[in-house]
Amino acid sequence: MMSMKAILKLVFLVGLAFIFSTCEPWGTRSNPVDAGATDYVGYPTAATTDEITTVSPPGGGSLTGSVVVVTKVLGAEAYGIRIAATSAELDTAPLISMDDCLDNQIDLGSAVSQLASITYYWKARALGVDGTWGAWSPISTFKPASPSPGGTATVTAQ
Amino acid sequence: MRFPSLRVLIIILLASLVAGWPTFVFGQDATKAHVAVVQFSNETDSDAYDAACSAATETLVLTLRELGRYIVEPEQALPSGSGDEGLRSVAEECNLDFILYGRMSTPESGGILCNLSVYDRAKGKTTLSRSEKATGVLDIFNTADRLVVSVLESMTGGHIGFGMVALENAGEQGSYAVLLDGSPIGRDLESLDKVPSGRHVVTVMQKRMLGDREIASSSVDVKEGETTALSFAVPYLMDDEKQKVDGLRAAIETGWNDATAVGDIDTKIAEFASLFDDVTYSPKLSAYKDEATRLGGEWALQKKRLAVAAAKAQVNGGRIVLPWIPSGAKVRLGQESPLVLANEATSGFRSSVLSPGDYAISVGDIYNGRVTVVPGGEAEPADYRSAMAASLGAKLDGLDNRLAVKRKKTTAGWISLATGFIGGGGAAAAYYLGKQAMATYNAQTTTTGAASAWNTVSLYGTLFTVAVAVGGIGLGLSPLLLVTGPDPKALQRSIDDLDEGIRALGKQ
Repeated sequence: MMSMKAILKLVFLVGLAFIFSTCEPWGTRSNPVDAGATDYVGYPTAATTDEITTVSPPGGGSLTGSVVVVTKVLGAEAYGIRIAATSAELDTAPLISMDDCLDNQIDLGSAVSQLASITYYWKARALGVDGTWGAWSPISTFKPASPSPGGTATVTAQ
Repeated sequence: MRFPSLRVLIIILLASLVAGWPTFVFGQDATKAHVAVVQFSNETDSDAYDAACSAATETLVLTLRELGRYIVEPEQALPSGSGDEGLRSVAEECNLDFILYGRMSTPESGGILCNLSVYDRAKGKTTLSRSEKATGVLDIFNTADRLVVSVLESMTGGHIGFGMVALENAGEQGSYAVLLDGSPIGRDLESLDKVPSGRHVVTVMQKRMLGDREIASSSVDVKEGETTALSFAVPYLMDDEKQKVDGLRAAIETGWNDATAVGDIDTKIAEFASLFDDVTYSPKLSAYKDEATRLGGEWALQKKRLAVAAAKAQVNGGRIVLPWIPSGAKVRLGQESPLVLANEATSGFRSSVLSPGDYAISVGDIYNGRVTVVPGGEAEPADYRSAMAASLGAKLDGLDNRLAVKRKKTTAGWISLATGFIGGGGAAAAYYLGKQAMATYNAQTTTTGAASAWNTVSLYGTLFTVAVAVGGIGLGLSPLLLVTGPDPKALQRSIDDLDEGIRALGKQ
């Protein structure tokens, strides 16, 4: 039968182990590219152009403001983006087509004002250091957050 | 008749007090000069004169003492070649009024030249120096004596005459020591040949069975050139010595037949013999010495007789025998003190011879019963074996269980200790690997790589926590399991003891 003294010792040791478990013996989880870290920059980072994905707005989400975000591809020279009313039109009749974006946080600017309050399809790609474009990202959708005030959309042909 | 006035009487009284104060304060010694003697130096080329130098020094010291006018300090040593300066230094350091120093040398003209000088501290120089020449070795002692007397006469400013004291022992022909004015002169002397004239105290001492004893002490008035007789008697036995001897004899006689007083008589017989170890102070006492030897022999025989008589007396009694008693158990008869405290080793018990009769007996707190002692027999309580066997059986079961539990705890303790060490090692390894994984995580630049690396860090973190917990619990529990509880060896000894007891009880 365990004595009270032994039980107290055991409790002390378990407590000690608990304290250890709650500590981070090698430092905190801190890496800007880590989506689980406290200092996450807000978008994923990929090593190759083919890993690019659309990030914000998330699929089916709302676009607030004029900035869309795609995966940051390490060493990418430029990013390209296309937005269309249907997925089929992404390659044939995109409403917005940009291939000279230098950052993965792409400001659509005044083109946003041309978008109606419907679901839009969009995808992105990255230009590698070898001068070749990577594959398009999977197609995602979004809706502008508020109805478009109307006007003429600027459409840039590829 | 005209009486002196009161003023004159007071002046006379004060003058007397002033003149006598040193004596009043310091006693007679305050008026005596302090004198030290330096050993005569042998400045001849022969060691043969060392003895003459020593003899001359002794004569000088002795004569100075016998004169009674000086306080003779211990012999002094002088730095060689120091002259009056060295003498002054010694005199001041030792508070000496005079230093006497001498030498013996061989002049070119032949013979031995004896020289004795006196350094006077008050005058700061050697004030007296005399020499006498001896014609040869045989003459040197007389020459030295004459020189000593000559110098001392000059030093004291008066004539020093010598007389003789003849000692006559009218008692036992024992050895004795003679002291003159408290200083030892010699042993078994029949006369003191050169005693300075004047009043002296001659004392005769003996070392006897009860210590140093004064046999005679007498004040004698020695006159120059005359012989003064002093008679004394060495006693055969002094009164207190006789009382001591008679007392021991009576005590030995009283306890001679008492078997319980053997140790006491041993001591007294040894003391009786020791009184007569040395009877040179009264040789006729050797008769007592013979008696002590005879008494010792007879006592050795008497002790055997007493032992035989005691053995015979025991035949009429009987003993109590117990086939086995537990270690440390006390056997008591009735309310009496324990008869025995058993040794660590398991053993049976056999009492001393007891008077026949019925006794209540107890063994520790295990057994209480009764037994009847018969003449010449060995009795065992009738129910002793069955009662002890039942008690021992129950105890044995309990001890077996405790030992089994203790062994399991010990095994668990070792396992726990090993687990503790394994946990500790695991924790160290997990810590090391986790640290490396963290470095890998920090180096990640892609989201997928960072997520994957963090999974590894988390895995080692979990492993580290578990290992620390396991190690801590293992190391913490092991001493509790290993150290606490009864000592297995002691338990095993107790079990062996009980086993032995059960076996012993089973024998008829």
